Amino acid sequence: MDLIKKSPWIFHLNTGGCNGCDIELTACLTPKFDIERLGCVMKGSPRHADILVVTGPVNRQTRDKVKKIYDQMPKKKIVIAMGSCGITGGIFKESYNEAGPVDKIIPVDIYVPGCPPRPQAMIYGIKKALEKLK
Amino acid sequence: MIQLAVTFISALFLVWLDRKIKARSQYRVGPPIYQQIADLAKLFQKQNLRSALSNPLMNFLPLISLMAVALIAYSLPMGNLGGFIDMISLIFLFALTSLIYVFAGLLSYSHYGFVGAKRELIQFFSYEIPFALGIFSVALFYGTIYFREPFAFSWVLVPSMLAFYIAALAKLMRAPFDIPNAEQEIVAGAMTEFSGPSLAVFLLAEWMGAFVACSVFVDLFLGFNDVLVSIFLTYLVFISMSVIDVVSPRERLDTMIGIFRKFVIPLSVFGVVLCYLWTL
Repeated sequence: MDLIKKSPWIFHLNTGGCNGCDIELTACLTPKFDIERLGCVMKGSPRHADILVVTGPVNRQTRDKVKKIYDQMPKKKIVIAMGSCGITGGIFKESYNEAGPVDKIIPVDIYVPGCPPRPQAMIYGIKKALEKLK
Repeated sequence: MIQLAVTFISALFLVWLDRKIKARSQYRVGPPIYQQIADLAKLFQKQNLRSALSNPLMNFLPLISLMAVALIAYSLPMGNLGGFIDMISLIFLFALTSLIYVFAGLLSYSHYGFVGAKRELIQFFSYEIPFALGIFSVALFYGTIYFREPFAFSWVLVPSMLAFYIAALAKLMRAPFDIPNAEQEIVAGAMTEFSGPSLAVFLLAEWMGAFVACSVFVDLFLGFNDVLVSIFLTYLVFISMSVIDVVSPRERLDTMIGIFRKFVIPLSVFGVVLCYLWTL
């Protein structure tokens, strides 16, 4: 039995988005969706986490921070880019301040599209990420 | 040895129950029953990261904490299983686990760790007095420091019992005294920089410590000479702490000190005086 799939701990990082994805991600914790029944916990420290959820495009201020936080996570880690901005840059694309979508900075495993994606989509993304985590 | 096995299994079960109670009180479903085992197994499979500035001794601290807790668990009476601990070692080993938490925060070289260690130290000086006096009053009342079998319930010990219970809440970092690891303020306190296996050992020590403290409470104040009744009462004490944890908000550091200085420490001193006068 692969127990690592049963307890994914999430670290959430907003790199400069509009906060819409953050609210939808937080909605996963509410009674209606409740990802704790899958063993997911939102952790405050990247050292405890298995999954890094990045919302928003990476801008010039957060570029180094994203790399730093990615390096601070222990091995066997998964990165999920959440929302259109994280995947392509969204409406911030080619803006003077934008440093690129997330996969230009750190390797991304799962993309969850939407602006913002629904909590169901996020839960599906986490499930896909766990299948990848062998 | 039975005590250690009981402690390990009960700790995993009760921490799951704690999470389940929290979830059900918020109308959520909550984690499945094998959740704590899955968490531990996962953490043991992960990499053990340490920042370059932190002290290498950091990795041994969780082991010391686990050993201290396991030593208490190994030698507890827990009903009629026959313990061989004395109360001075009990106070020392419990204080050691708290101090390990402080050292973990200081050695891990993180701001959150420093703040967590500072808060834990302030809280330690508040709760350790009623905690130790609670144990001391039992020793005074029964005239022995050996803790080989549970002590029977007595009305004279009720003030000490209340003070000990509140001190145990603060020791186990349960709300309203979860100041040292307040997640919304300082991430995870002293545990912020721990990852992988060392985090797993630290968490296991914390969970087992919670069960052991409840078991000590039961054996000291509500003792029954029966294993199953004793374990059942320990579960009830743990669940009462979970319920308090769910319904209470977090105290500020200064109000926490106020509660202990104005209410809990006088109560425990009163309990000791009462025991002394009763045994004259």
